[in-house]
Amino acid sequence: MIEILDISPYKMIGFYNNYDDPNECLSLLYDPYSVQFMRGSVHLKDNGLERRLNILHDDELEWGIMKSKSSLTKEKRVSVSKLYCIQYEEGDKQYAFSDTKSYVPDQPCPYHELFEEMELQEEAERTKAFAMLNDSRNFSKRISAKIIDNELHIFYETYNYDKPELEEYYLMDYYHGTYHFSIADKSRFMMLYLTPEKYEKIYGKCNAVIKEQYDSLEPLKKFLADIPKYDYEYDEDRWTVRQKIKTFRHMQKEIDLMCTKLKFERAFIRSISCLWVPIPGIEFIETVYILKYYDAEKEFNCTGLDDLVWEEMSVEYYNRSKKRKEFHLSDGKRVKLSLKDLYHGFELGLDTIDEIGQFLLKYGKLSIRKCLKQTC
Amino acid sequence: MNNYSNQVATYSKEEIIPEAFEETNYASFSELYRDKISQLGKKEGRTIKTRELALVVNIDYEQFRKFIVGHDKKTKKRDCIIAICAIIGCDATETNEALRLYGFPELDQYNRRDEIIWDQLAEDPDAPVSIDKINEALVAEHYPLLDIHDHRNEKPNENQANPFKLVRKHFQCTIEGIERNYKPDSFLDLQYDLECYYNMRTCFEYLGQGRRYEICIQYEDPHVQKSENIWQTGIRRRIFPKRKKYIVYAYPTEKQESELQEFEQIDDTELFRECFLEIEKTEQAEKQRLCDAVNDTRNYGRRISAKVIENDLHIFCETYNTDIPELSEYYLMDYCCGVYTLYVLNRSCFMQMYLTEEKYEQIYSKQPSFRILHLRKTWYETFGFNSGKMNDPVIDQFSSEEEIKFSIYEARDIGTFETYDENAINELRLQSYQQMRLEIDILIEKLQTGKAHICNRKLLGKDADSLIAAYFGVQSLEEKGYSAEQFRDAFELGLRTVNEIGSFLQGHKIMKINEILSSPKAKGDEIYD
Repeated sequence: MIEILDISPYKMIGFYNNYDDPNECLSLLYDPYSVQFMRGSVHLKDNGLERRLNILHDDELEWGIMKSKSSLTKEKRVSVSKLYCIQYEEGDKQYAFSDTKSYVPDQPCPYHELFEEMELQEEAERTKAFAMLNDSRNFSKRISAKIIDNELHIFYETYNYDKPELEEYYLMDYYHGTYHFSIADKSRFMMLYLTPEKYEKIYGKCNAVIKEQYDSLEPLKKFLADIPKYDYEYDEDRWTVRQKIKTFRHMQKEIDLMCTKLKFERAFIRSISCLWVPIPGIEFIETVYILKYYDAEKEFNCTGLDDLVWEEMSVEYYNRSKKRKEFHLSDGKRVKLSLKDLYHGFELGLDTIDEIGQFLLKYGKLSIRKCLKQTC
Repeated sequence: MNNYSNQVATYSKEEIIPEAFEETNYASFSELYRDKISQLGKKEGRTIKTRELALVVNIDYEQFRKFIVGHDKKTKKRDCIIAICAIIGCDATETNEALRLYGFPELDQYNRRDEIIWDQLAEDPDAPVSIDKINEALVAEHYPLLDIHDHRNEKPNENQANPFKLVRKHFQCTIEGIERNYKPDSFLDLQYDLECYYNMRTCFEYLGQGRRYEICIQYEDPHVQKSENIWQTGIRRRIFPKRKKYIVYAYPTEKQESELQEFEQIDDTELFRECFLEIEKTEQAEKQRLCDAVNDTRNYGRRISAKVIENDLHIFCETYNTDIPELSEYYLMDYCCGVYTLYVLNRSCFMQMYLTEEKYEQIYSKQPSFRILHLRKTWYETFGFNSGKMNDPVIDQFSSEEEIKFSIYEARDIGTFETYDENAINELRLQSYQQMRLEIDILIEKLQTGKAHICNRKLLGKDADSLIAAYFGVQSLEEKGYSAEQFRDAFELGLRTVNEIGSFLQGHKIMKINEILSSPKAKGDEIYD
């Protein structure tokens, strides 16, 4: 006889802090994988004995960028990503749960059906959280910057609040010196924000219909000029085109502002602070963590450095930091990278050594300024 | 005075559905089924067994086999055929063909549930889609799961009664009155009243009885005047609502002339009744989509309006909490009798205040769940236990900045948002309170100085008095014991019936909006008398 005493649902705690300083780490601000959830539990009585059931996820103690990374690479890992845990009552004490048994989800275990129900609830909560992130209406407007295919993109999305009945989203993507303005029936911000693989994994294929697209203000201005003046019959068209021109200009302005912020380091694609290193502000400690991020500890002969106390770590680090290592890129080219390059590559939001190498070969320096100078 | 024109202040949205696919590649459902599993088998490099598929849809093998052949026994479940199509890798078009061959209605893209299924099938046209995946998508939008298994004593689908074959769909919606967005404060009462501004025309074309028919549902304005402006139109439509018309146009043939028939009631349409029911379904879905867009302040950023509710003038504004969107909450501030109350809501309630209760129920087919109640929090609520006394959509409410500041010390059940400490959430709430209060103060000033209007008599032009008289259902503005000036003031205040005038005058003695807003009662001074 099972009696459910209490259910605390799996719940979203929050995502990366966006109101203190939204420009601190643009690449993490809307990352669905960095969303933090609170573990759910079911407290029950089975034949008079109390049990507490919960599902343990291997990434629940990770935070921010590392959580995002581990979620993405989860399938590649051999280890089990979640466990069904049952905490048993100890003696007569009502709430002293001490003995815990864990089961792999595929294996038979007590209360398996309850665990499956909990998983369904978790899935629903995750879907809700991810859907919230996929709609710019929830944020009023969103802006971000990212290196896509070795090109800096600054993109801004907002909703057509003037005519909401039309359900239109305005997106401006600035790259290679051109402002690409488009109107679609669905939010496409996350399509640019996430990598295509990540987007498809979370949201599936994007079936947004692009209604209009302009690469400059000229076609819009021409439309406006072609509308007969002083004729009430065309009031509506005139108003609509004017609104689009106004929106284009406003978005352009916001993107230019973001450009300036990136240039003068008032906004960052990725900040080192999101690594949550034990002693922040010390470059070599941060670099050791960045090496972990790129799984490049072996290449730079830095395995196990993070186990050392920081004084020893500093000596060991400096012994190895002068050497540059050669890497083979996906297109067959070779590039020599130093630890500093990895540090700067991380700041640029580049996710792989290959991306760092390609960027370095194209721009000559891993610097946002250099990139802005060539593309803007 | 009448500087505005409404002749062409329209926005047209047109969607033409291409002619339905008429040619059938398969003679029967079983032929389609066999072809698809052989394709799937080739793709997977093995033989796909029917027994295996029966297991996937959880139907007894023998019964499943009979369903496929369809001679002895047919399934009564349309979802069963959809599920079979999904697992054998049919895309949306093939599924429609299968449904047609089996005698079921095709997937209707105007039906949201069907649309979800359609999207799932269309996502990767060559690959099978699992039933679980479709169910997940349906559950995500709170639709029933695929209903695959036959239950006893179930009646056969009634949709098969239509003798006409649908060949074309055409929907057109005109959203008028875009000019009202130039100056939203000029006629607050009409700003979000969508019924005054949209016009729909839904036409389907059918083949049957050797002829092609265009069957339409459209609306006609009984007293249309081409020269009137959008506000005159809005008020006139409130007085004389649009009339629904059922129109059947038979195309000419070699032997017959074209014919046009108009009906006032669906019951008079006889042979075409089923067609009209189908069109009404599409129209209803489109109307719902439009009304739902208006019912959510997230689509507007922020909204503000003013209205007399239960004899008191309320000024209210709403916004979505975009600072912490994961809380999924709306802020609604209501100003009444000198008190600014901030409601934290779990859904948008602006339209529940903006529309009358009856109109809200009529449009959204549900009663408004939000009530403006200045409830003092009970001890239980203060400490996070919901005693059920507060309004359903209300998560929290604050009547002053101090209440927000003090709420730091309250234990509240808003979830455990560890990343934002209580101070941070309260700080943001305080900022919103101040911002919304400022917006309300600005609107109050505008209403007092005549820069904003609930209903603007001047915009009705020279026919204002006759329109106002018709609005209140009187012959002239000197009836029922009220003066013309009182009728005009009542109109400006947004009152809608003679009874409302009487009841308002009893409580306030005055009806001029600037005097009301400056009165001690409106400022809340009377409370302390």
